[in-house]
Amino acid sequence: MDAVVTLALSVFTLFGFYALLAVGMGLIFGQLGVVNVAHGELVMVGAFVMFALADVPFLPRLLLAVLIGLVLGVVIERLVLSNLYERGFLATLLAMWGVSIVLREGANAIFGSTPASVRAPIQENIEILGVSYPLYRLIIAVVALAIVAAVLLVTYRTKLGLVVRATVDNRDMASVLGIPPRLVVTGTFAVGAMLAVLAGALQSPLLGVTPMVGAAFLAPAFFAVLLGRAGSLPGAIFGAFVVALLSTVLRTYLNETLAQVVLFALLIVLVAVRPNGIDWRKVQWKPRTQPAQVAA
Amino acid sequence: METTHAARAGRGMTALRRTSGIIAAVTLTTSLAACAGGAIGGGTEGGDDVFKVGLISPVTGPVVQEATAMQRGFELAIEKINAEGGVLGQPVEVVTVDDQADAAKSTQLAQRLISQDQVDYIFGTIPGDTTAAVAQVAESAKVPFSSAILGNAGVCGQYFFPFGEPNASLLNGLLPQMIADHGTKVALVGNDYAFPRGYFADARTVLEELGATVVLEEYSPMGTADWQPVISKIKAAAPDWVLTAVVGADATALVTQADQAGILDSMGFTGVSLIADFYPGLTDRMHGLTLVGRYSDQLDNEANKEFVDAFREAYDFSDPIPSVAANAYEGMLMIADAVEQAGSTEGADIAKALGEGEVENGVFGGGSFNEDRFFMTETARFEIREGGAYVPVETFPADIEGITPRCA
Repeated sequence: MDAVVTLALSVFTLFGFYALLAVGMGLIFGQLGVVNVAHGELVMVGAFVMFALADVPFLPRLLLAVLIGLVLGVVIERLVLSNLYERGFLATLLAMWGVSIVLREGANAIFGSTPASVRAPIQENIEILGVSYPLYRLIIAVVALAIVAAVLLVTYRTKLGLVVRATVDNRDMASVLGIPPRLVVTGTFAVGAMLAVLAGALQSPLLGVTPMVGAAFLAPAFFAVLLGRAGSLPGAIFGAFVVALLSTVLRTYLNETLAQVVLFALLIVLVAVRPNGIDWRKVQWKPRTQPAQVAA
Repeated sequence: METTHAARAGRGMTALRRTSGIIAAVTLTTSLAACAGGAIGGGTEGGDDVFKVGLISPVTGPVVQEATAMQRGFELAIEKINAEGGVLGQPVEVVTVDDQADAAKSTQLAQRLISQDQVDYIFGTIPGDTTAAVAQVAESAKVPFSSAILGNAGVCGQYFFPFGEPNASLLNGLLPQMIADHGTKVALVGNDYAFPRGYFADARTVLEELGATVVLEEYSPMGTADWQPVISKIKAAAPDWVLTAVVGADATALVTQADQAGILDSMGFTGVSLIADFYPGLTDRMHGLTLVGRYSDQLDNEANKEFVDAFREAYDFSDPIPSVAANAYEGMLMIADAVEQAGSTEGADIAKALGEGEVENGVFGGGSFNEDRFFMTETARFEIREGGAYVPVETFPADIEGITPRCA
C-alpha cells in the first residue's frame, strides 16, 4: 500500500511540474509555431532568480521571477523573433537556440558552474495514508496545476483567449476587427516564457542550480507537446501526464538507466504510432454517412 | 495567404519532429569547429630543453566545475615553478586545449598536442573515458601523461601517472567507521558512468570483507534532477547508511531532496557527494557529516598554507578548495621536479624520475607513486563543520587494499 501511495504522490508532483512546462511550451509552439529550444534555459533563469534574490522572502521572490519572466519574454520576442516568423520555423528555432546559449553562458559568467541551492520555505513532511512525503513538493504541484488550469480557462473561456486564438488563426482578419496582432503575439510569447521561468522558480528548492540545469527538462516538455494533438493545450497537458506517469513508474520498477532508455523508446513509439497526438475521442474506422441533400 | 490554426500547428508538429536532427547537425558542426581551433597559450617552437606541457581542460561541457578547479591548481603550480626559475633553466610553456569531456575529442587533441605542438608532457582531462583515451595516445607516443581527478583511472601504462585519490584510499578508512557507527546494511547510490561503478565495485569488495550487506545499488544518468524515485527505493530498502557517488549538480539535488525526505536524519549518509566541490550548494545540510579523503584546505602544513593563500587570492575564492585543484598543483610541482632530476625532457627519462620520485612536505605532507602507479599519501576522516571547514579528525596511512586494477 505504501508503495502505491508513494508512487501516486510522485506521479502527481512530477505531473504538476511537467504540466507547467508543457503548457508554456505548448502556448509558444501551438499558438506561434515557434519551437522554443530555450525553454530549459528559461527554467534555469527562474531557478537562478530564486538563488540570486535569496534575501527576499519566498513569495515576493516568486512574483519577481514572474515579472522577470514576462520582461525576458517581451525582450526575446521583440528583439529576436518578431522579424523571423515569416522566414519559417528553422529561423525561429535557430534564433531560440542562440538565445539558449546566451542565457546559459550568461548564467555561467555571472554565477559560475558551482551548483547552488535554494532553501525551501517549508521543510516539513506530511503524512498521507501512512506515507511521509515532503509538503513543499505537494504544494508546488497543486500551485502548478492551478496555474495550468487558469491558463486553460483564460485561453478557452474568456474574451482575451478568444482574441489570442483569433489572432493566431488569421492575423489579417483580427487586425481588421481592431485586435493589435503584434501585441497579442508578444504577449503570448511572454506568458509562455514566464510560465517556464515560474516552473524553474517553484522547482528551484529541489535542484542543484547550475547553468546546465535546464537541459534535463527540455526533452520531457517536447515529448509532452508531441504527445498531445497539434496545437492543443489540453493535449500538451495530457502528454505531460503520460510522460510523468511513465517516467515515475519505470524509474520505480526498473534501474534508473534502463528506465530512461525504455521511457524515451516508448515515447518515440507513441509519437510514431500516433503522429497527430494521443486523442481520447473514439477512432472512426468508416466515414460518417452524409445526410441526403435536399434540393431546393 | 490565410492559414488556419490547425494547419499551422500541423506544420509546426512536423517541424518539431525535425528539430532534434537539426540540433544534432549544428552541434556536430560546432564541435568539429571547437576541435579545430581550441588551443590557447604556448605557441613557440620549443628548443630541446624547454619543457612544454599540454593541458587538457574540459572547461566547457558537463565537468566545468572540476575542470576549472583543476586548471586553477595547475596554473598556480606553473606560476610558482616559473617564478622560481622554471625547469632546466627555462620557463615552462603550456598549451591549453578543451576536450569538452568528450573522448573522441580527447583523442584528437592528445594527438595534436604530441604531433603538432610537440609537448613533452600531457596533463589533465577529467572523466574516466577521456583519461583512458588520452592515456592510450600518450602511451603509444611515449609521452608521459597525468590526470588529477579522484578515483581509479582504470588504465595502466608505463607513461601514465595519475595524481587523483585511488578509490581504496577513499574507502578503507571510511567503511569500517560507518559500519561501526550505523550498521551493516548499505545502499550504494551513484551516477551512471565509469567512476561510480568502479568506486562501488571496490566498496563492495571492502564491505563484503567487513561482513556488510549491500541492500541497494542504484545508478542514475548524469543530469538527473528528480531523485524522488531513488529516494523511494532507499526508503523501501531501509539501509543503515547510504554511500554516494553522485556528482555535480546531481549531488546537490540528491542531498537536498534526501534531506527534505528525512533521510539525512534517519540514517547514515556519506561518500563522494559530500566532497568540498559541492559544499557551496549544500552548506548546513552537510554539517556534522563525515567522509574520508586526501585533501582539505584545513590541513595544517606550510605547503598547504602557501597554496591556500595563493588560491584564495588569485581567484577571489572563499569556498572550500576542491581536492582536484590540490592534486593538480602538487602533481605539476612533482612533475617539474622530476624533469629537473632527469635533466632531460625525454619521456622515458621523466617517467623513470617520476616513478622513483617522492614528495616531502607537500600540500598533502608526503607522497609517492607505488609500483601500481597510484599516487599514495596519507588520508584523513574529515568532519564537515560551519563555513565549509573540512576538519581532519583521524588520519590513515596510505593503504592500497582493494585497489583495481593492479598494474605492477
